[in-house]
Amino acid sequence: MMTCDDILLELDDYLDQLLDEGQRSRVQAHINQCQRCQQSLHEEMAWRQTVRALPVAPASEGFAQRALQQAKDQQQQSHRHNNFLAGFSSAIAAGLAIWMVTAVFLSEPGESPQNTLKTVNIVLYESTKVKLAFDSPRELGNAKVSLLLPDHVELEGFPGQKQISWHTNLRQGRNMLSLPLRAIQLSQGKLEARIEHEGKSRVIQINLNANKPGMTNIEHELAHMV
Amino acid sequence: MKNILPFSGKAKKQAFDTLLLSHMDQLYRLAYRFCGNRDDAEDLVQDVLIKLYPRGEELLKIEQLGPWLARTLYNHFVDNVRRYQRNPVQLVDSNDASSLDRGGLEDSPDHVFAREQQLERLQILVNQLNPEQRSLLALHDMEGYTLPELVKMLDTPLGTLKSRLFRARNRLKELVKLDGTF
Repeated sequence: MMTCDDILLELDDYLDQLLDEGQRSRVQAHINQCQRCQQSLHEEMAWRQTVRALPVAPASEGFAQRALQQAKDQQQQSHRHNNFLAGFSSAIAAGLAIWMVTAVFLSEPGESPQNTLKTVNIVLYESTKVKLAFDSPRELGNAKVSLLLPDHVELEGFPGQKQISWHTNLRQGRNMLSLPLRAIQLSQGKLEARIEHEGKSRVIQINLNANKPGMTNIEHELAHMV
Repeated sequence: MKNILPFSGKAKKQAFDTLLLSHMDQLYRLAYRFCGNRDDAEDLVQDVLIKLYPRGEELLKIEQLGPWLARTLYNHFVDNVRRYQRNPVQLVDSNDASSLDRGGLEDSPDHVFAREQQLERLQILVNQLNPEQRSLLALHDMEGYTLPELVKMLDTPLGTLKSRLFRARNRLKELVKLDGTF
């Protein structure tokens, strides 16, 4: 006779269809008569359904064709690649001043663009999406993105970390960095996002002001034009 | 007479495309499960294609190309995992309706939006698993490969896979419990 503890041990194999017919019948017989185990089974099934339901963001438009073409082109590209990088370095040097001067903050319709440090409101203990838009004149492969967070703010999924860096590819045109931020104290302070590529770097700074809970999630866009 | 596709020049490219095109959705989907975001997933698939391109003739001889490609993707991911864990946050298109951001909040029932937020949160927690755990959960629990299939695909004994899967599931549940949002 199977006990509830036995059933809990067999539950994974039962749901993964790894039990033979005899074992399966014994487990099923117990579950049919035991509300507690029925509850455990339903909870586990609901949990697995949730995990299966995790969405997959669609690939970018034309990805399949592009990727297949790139696999072929890659073998022919090394000569062209070196020329591209040489051209890009001079483009960055020329563009740097324009980046800093024309950075604008767009929050309310009709608001005049300003060049001073802008304040973004986020909510205490709630996740708020803050979007930073980077307009790149060209594709930047393997650019380094670094975030420096103020003490009162965390990046979702990175508790306690104030400096976070990673490498990514930036597309030509607008690249939107969507930061899920959570304020852990009522305070304000500066967030710095830095992009580095081939020895050149660009920085965006915004002031993050934590508000009390009860406000709806707010998205602010900080856009700059190059 | 066996039809052998020519593998040179333009014919080679066309043959490669013909072989791989029908598997691209599956490859991307699996790569997304491993990496947790679109950019890294596309990079992973791209890198695997670049590796496979010179081996086009070999691909012709493989009977079940789908599982073979999944295994190749998995091995490449595990061997180069640092390259595909670069993005703690996703770069999204500002006009991309498929992003998890909700532009039409006012049209969505509250419970649907709450569910979507819950799944978004769960994805962040899945991304915190180590690569081996994350990829095994992806293959089995998300994409539905059975354990016997994975034994063949990953060349790993059933008992070992069961233990790893058990640990992966428990770890995710621990993270969910610590997170407190479910």
